[in-house]
Amino acid sequence: MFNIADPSKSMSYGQAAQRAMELGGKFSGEEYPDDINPLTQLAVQGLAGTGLVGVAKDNLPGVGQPPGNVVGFMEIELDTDTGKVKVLDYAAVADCGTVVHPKNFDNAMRGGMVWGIGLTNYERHVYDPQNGLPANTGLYQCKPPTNQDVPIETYAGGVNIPDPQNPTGGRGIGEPTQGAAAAALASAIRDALGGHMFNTAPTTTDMIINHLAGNEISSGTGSLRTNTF
Amino acid sequence: MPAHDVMPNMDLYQPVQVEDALAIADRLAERGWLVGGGQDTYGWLKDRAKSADALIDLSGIESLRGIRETANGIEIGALTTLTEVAESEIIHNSYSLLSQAAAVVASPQIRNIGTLGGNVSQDVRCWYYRRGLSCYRAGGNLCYADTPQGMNREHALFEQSRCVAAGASDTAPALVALDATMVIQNLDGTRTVSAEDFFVGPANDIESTTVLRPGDILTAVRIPNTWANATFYWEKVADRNVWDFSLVNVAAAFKVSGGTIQDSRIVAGAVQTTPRRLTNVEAAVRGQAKNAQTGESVKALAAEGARTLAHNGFKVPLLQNLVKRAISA
Repeated sequence: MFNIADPSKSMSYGQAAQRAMELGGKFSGEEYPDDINPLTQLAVQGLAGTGLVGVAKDNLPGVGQPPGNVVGFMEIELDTDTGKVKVLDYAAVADCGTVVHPKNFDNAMRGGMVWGIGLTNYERHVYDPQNGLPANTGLYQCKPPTNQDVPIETYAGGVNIPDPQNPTGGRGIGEPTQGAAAAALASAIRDALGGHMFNTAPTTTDMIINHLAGNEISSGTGSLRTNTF
Repeated sequence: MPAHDVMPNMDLYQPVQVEDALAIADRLAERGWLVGGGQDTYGWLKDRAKSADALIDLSGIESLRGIRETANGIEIGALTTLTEVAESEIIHNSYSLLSQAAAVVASPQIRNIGTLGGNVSQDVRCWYYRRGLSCYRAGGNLCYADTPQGMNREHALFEQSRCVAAGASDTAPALVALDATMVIQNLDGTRTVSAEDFFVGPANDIESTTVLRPGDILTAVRIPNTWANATFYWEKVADRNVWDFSLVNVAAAFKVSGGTIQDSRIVAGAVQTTPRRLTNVEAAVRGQAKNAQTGESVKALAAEGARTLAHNGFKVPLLQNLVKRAISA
């Protein structure tokens, strides 16, 4: 670190920590504000004297940061002979606060859809409980969706109403994009199968075929049971 | 389970003439490993599950590439890439069944490198075997997949014999349906084997999926014009639409006259180690109308004799449905 006005004045992090330990008090954590939480107090006490320690409570006004929400609508075609699902169309709208970066927002919405489709239709953890061996140790065995498994044209929109609790007005939409697509696909498969619920994810090709064929043997449930710890 | 440390030392031979390759393959015998596009080989080596003293890289042998018309059909060099097979006009015009099968192997990148010879010679895709476990196929004395708790969703329904691994090739069933002939050379000369006899199940040889022996090189595949321009049906069902192995595939050729099936060859893939010709279905549809009603009435025959494992029962209705579709289409 160095002095902005005079860059020739500088010290290393190690020197700064050493100096703080020599100065003690509020520089090394031996003194701290009264308003910090009891658990934080214990943590600071444990660290006191070991280096440069800064402690403060976040007293910015606010009552918590609500997460972003995404609503997804999906249209599929389910082949009752092969168990294959083709996603025809997907539209998703996010209550995401202010859209800070439109291109990035769009990428997050569409990329999340791809992962969501994978969660519901493809990506299964396969594990042999008898030998204690994971079966899908390669990328080709884990089966994330490819560009041939997702619709090319989709709709992604944002409500774009600023979140009053956030300085930029934004809300995180990293995970809701996946959840919305995953739930939309699971619901669409259910609808296509006349209301049948698998109650688990993913719903892979073999499970759909087995359901349609009334196949009780090797319904996939056995292996799934070992999966949902 | 071998450690994933550095790759072992291997000698590398890169012959540019078939004669040289045959001499090297003969001299090295069991110690040599033939490499075409390497799309099966490199997986084994990278996973440290198998190794070879010497790799014999065939990719420099130009005479093994290309598609030629012959007096009674076509000949495809074993090193012809799957992309070349899929895009060939000659193949597309008369044997589109093979074009369709080659076009959906793995991914575009793999098809650009992978060869027809390699696709039919590739090893099975049992993940226990591929992991390097000492199973029957690897020279051991047990099968990990054929147990009540084995993860065997992708495994075989038929012709299980200690090993229950299913074949992974998409072009193999198409070649059997087209009644292709495999051209095999070794230092003693050239021999030809029908595609149906080229593939070998575990009852006959548990450590090899083909009749190829050390010293042999598959140099070409010949397709006779017997089934040229027949009514073809190809369908592959895999979880994903690209970069995935068949759960079940079906390759069929029909000679149809006035809506009636005169003759047919119907072959299923990924239901046993070798492509499975459904001769009972072929017999049942002979003289029948090629329509949905016939398909529905004979589809149960397709799975006759199947023995399901803990998790591959879905392959029975899937196989039946694909055969139904082949006949209905």
